[in-house]
Amino acid sequence: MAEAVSQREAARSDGAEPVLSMRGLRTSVSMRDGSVDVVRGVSLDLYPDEVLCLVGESGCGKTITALSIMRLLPTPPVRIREGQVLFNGRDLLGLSDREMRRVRSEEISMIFQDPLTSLDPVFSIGHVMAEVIRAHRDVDRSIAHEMSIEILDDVGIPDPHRRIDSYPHELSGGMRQRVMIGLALVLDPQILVADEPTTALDVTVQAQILEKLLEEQRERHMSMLLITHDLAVVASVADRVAVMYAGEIVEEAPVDELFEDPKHPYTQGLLRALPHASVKRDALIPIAGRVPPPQMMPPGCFFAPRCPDAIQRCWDDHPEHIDRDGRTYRCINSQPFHRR
Amino acid sequence: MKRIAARTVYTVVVLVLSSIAVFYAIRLSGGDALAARLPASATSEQREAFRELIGLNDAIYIQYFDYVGRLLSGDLGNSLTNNASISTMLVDHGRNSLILGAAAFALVFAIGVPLGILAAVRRNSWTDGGIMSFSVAAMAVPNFWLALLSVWVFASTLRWLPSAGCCSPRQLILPAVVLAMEGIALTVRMTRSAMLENLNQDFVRTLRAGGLSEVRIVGKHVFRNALVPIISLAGLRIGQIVGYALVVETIFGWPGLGQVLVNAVLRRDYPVAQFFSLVLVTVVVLSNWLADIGYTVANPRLRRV
Amino acid sequence: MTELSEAAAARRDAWTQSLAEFEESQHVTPWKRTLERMRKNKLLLFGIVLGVVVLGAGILGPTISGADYTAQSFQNVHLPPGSEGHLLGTDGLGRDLAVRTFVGIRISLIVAAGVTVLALVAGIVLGMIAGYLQGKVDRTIGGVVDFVWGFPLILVAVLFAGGFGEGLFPVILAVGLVNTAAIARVVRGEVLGLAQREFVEAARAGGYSGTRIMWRHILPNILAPALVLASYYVAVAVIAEAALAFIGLGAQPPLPSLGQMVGDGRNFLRINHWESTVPGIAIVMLVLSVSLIGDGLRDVFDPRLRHEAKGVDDR
Repeated sequence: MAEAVSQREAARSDGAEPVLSMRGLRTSVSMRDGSVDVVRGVSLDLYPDEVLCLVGESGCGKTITALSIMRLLPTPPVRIREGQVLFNGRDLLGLSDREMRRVRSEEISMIFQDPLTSLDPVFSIGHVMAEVIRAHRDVDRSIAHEMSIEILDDVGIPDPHRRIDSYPHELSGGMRQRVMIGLALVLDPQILVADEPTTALDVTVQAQILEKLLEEQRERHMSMLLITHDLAVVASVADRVAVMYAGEIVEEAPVDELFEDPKHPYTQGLLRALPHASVKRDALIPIAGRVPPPQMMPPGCFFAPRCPDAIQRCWDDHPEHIDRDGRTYRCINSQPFHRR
Repeated sequence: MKRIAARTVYTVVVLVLSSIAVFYAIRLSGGDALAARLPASATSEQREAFRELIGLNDAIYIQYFDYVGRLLSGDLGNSLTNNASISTMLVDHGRNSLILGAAAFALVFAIGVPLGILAAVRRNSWTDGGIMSFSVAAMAVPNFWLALLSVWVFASTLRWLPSAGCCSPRQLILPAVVLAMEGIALTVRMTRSAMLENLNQDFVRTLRAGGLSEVRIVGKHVFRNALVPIISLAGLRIGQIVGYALVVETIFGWPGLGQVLVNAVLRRDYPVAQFFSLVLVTVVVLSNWLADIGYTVANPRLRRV
Repeated sequence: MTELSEAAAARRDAWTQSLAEFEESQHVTPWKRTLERMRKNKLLLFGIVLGVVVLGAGILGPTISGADYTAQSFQNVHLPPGSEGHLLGTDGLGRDLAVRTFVGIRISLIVAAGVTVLALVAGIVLGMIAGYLQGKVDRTIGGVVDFVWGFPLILVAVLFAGGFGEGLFPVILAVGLVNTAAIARVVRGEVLGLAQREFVEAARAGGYSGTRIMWRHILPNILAPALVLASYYVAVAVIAEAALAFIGLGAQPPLPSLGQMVGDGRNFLRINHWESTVPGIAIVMLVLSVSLIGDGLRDVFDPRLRHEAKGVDDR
C-alpha cells in the first residue's frame, strides 16, 4: 500500500493527468412514454489526490453520473447512451463485465447514502468483507479476516474483533457507514466515489464521518468524488467543486474561488440561499421556481426560467462552457456576485 | 430466544385449547350415536343406564379429563367399526402418512424453489411466463381431478404406474406428486416474488460495487434473503399437505391417517374420529410452531435483539 | 442584477404556460392510474370475462335451462353431450348434466365466494379493530387469528363434519372461520404498520375521531391486499368444497356438487368421461377466473413485481 500511496503523492505534485476523466456522458431513463436523458453531456476530470465535490439539488442527475462511473446503473430502464469514462487510459464503458468487476473495489470504490439498506442483513459484516476481499485477492480466510479487522479498526470501529461478527441491524447508523467505508477501502482503491455519505445520518455523526473520509483520503492520497446537495459539506472538504443542474455541469472551480466569486447564476442563487452567519439579513432568499421535468427542458439555457439575469439569447442558444482562468461555467451573461 | 420461548408457551396453550374444542365438538354428536349402538329394542331406561355407565351424563369437562387421562396412560381405545386397536392404527397408518407427507414435502421444495428462482432470474421471458402459467394451472386444477386424470393417463392407459395401494415406491409416486402439486405452485410464486423483491434491494448494489459476480450475488445473497419468507411459510406447507392428504389418501387408497379420519367421520366411528382429529390438529399446530421458529432462525433481525 | 429584457420576459411567460400544460397532462389521479393498469392487463381481463361466464352460468343457468336437476330417467342414462334435450349429456342416473353443473356452480359460488365475501367484511372489521386499538384487544384477537388462519381448510371442515355431521354446514363454517382469520391477520398487520405512519399521527393531531381516521385513511390502504387475499381464498375454498364432496362430505345428494359429480363419474372415465370432465372443467374455469382476477388485482395494485420497467415515476 505504501508504494501505491507514494506514487499517487508524486502524481499530484506533478500537476499531472487526471486519474478519471468523463467525456460527454449521456445517460437516459426509459419511462412510460419513451426515454429521456437525465445526464446530458457531462464532462468531468478527477485529479490524483484531490477531493472533488459534485453539488446539485435532488434529481439533477448527480447520483446517476456517479453510478455511471462504476457501471452500477439499474440497466433496464437506465442506459448509458454516449460518452467515455477514461480511467488510467482505458474506457471503463468498453470493458467486459469481468474486467469491470476487477476494477470495482480494487481500483474504484463507492459508498452509498443509506447504510442500513445498503448492507446485506442476513450476513455478518465480517463475512461480506471477507467475501469481497477474496473475490479480488487470492488469500485464505484467516488473512481476509485479519485484513477486515484491520480496516474496521482503521475506520474507527471500536472493538473490531467482536464487531466483525455483528449483523448490520446491530450497529448504529454511524457505525454502519464506517463499515461501508471500510468495505470500500479495504483493497486500497485509487478512487473513492461517495454518494451523499452523510445525508442519512444524525448531524453530530455527519461531522465525524466526513472527518474520517478526509483522513483516509489524505493518508492514502486517494482521489475522492463526493456527491452532495449540502454546500456546508462542500465548504469543509472540497478542493474543487462542480455544480450540476438539470443533467449538466454548469460551473466548475476550485472551492475558494467558487465561494467567493461564483460565475453561474445558479451557483450564485445557491450561495445566496445559504444562511450566512456573518451577514445580517431580514429573510432567507431561495431560488425561485423548480427544476423542470426532464421532458420539458427549455430550448436554450436550462436555467433560464429561474434566472434573474436571463436575456433573449439565453432562450435561443444552449450555452457552452466558457473556459477562463482555470474555471469553467455555462453562462453568457454572468454577473458579479453580491450576497444581497 | 425470548421470542421462541413465548411462541412455545403460546403453542402449548393452543394445543390444549384445541384438544378441548375437538373433544367437545365430537362428543356433541358422538355421544348419542354411542347410545345408538344399543339394539333398537332397548328401553329408554336401559339407554339411560348405558349412558350413565359410559359416563355420558357427567359434565363435559369431567369427560374431557377422563379422556385425556386415559390417553396419557396409553389406553387409546378401539375402533367402533372393527374393534381394531387405535394405537396400532396410529403406528401403522401414521408411518404411511409420514412417508407420503415427507415425499410430498420434499417435492414441494425440490421443485418449487428452483423453478421460482429460475422464473425470477429470467423475469419477463418465455421461461418466466411458462413457469408462472404452470403455477396458475397447478392451482386451478383441483387435486382430486388431477388424481383421476393421472390415474387415467399413467395407470389405465400407459400402465406405467399402479393406480392405488401402498406401500412400494412405485405406488408412492402418483399420490406424492398429486399431493405436492398445489404446494409446488404456491412455492414457485412465493420464491419468485421473494427473489424479485430482494433483487431490487440496495445491498445488491453494494455487493456489485464490491466486485462480486452476479452469480454469487444472486445465488448466495439474494437467495439467502429470499429464503426468509420461504422458510417461514414452510411450516404452513406441512399443514396444507396434511389437509390435502385427507383427500389424496382416500383417492389412492393409501392407508394413512387422513384416510382413517375421513372414513371414521363417514362411518361415525367416534373414538377413531376423535383421536385422529386430535393427532392431526396436533401435527398442524406443531408445524406452525416450527414455522415460527424457522422464521426466527432465518431472519437475523429477530435473533439476539 | 440586470433588468429582464421584455423579450426574455415574454419567452419566460410562454414557457411557463407550456410547462403548466405539460404538468396538467401528467396529472393522473390514483384512480385513473389504477383503471388504466387494469385495462392493460390482459390476463386480468381474461379472468374477468371467464368469471362473468361462470357467474352467469351459475346464476342464470338453472333458470334458463329450466330442467330439474333431480329428475332421473333410466332411459336416458349416459347420453353424450349434444344429445337432444341434453346439451351436455346425462349422468349415470339419467340426470341432465348441464343443469346439474349450473347448480353445482351456484353452490360452489355460494359456499366459496359468498362466504368469503362475508369473511372479507368480518376479517376487515376484526383486523381494523385489533390493529387500531392495539393492547389487550389486539393480543386476544391476534392470538385467536394467528392460531386459526394456519389450519388447512379441509382438515377444519372434516373436524366440523365430525361434530356436526355431513352436509354443507360444516364446510360453510370452516370456510367462514378460516378465511375470516386469514384476512383479519393480514389486515391487522397492515393496520399496525399504517397506524405508525405519520399521516395517521397527523390526522389524530388534527382532531379527527378514531372512526373517521379508520374509514378515510386506513381502509383504502388495506382494501387492496385484503381483496387479493380474499380472491386467493375463494379459489382455495372452491377446491376444498369440491374435494370434500368428492370423498363424500360436503354437499349431499340430491344437491349436486361439482366435486360430487366428478366422483360419481369416476367409474366411467374410459367410456363416458364427460360425466367427470364437464364438472371438472367447470371447477377449473371457476378457480382459474378467480385466480386470474386475484393475480391481476395484485399486479394492478403493486406493479413492482411485474413486467413494467421500473420507470422513474413509479418509484
